[in-house]
Amino acid sequence: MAREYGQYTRRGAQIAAVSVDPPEVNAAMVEKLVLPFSVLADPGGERAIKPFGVWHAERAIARPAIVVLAPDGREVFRYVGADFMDRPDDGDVLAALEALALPALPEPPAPIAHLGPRPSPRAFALETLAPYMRGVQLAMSALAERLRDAWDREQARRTAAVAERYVKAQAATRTLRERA
Amino acid sequence: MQDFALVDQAGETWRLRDALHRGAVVLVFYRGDW
Repeated sequence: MAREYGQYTRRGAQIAAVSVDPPEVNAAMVEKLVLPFSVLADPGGERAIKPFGVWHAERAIARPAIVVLAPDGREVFRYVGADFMDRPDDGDVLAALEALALPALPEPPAPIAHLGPRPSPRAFALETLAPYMRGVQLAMSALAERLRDAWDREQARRTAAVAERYVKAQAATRTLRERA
Repeated sequence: MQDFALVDQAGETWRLRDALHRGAVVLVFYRGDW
């Protein structure tokens, strides 16, 4: 769902994930999986999980479930799975949304927004490097077109070229890692 | 409809009613700890 979030926003829907995990765990998961939507903490299940009837009492966690609500609060789709591999077809969820015929919502911010370089003297994580350097490359190339001073243009071009080399090196490193 | 407010991954309050004001909402309940 995270990788196809545009399919949901185009049909006027937002996704919110809910579990008993605290916000710190959710923040780590959002970063790890590059999630473009809200991940909510309902530690005791009292606020959302139990009221929506998807509480697994013995295990004290939420049952895996997808509930679609229309803007007026009507429940238009519900699927409660037996375990985390038991999921509805995305097409069924999208069809339920389609039937509401809602105007599209703005596209979510690109996942890169979650990957910003950390305020730390440590080097970039490999995963962070490519999106960051691609942004640098794009910005510097655009700037090189606009700057009037020849020396400034040269600096921008050089920086764009360095960023491009980083992107290529990162891709090559990933290939090596995948082979390993 | 049961409204609720929960804290998101950034520590911000997320309220169902506000989200429904923007559009439909797909609630994904999961076991946690991915």
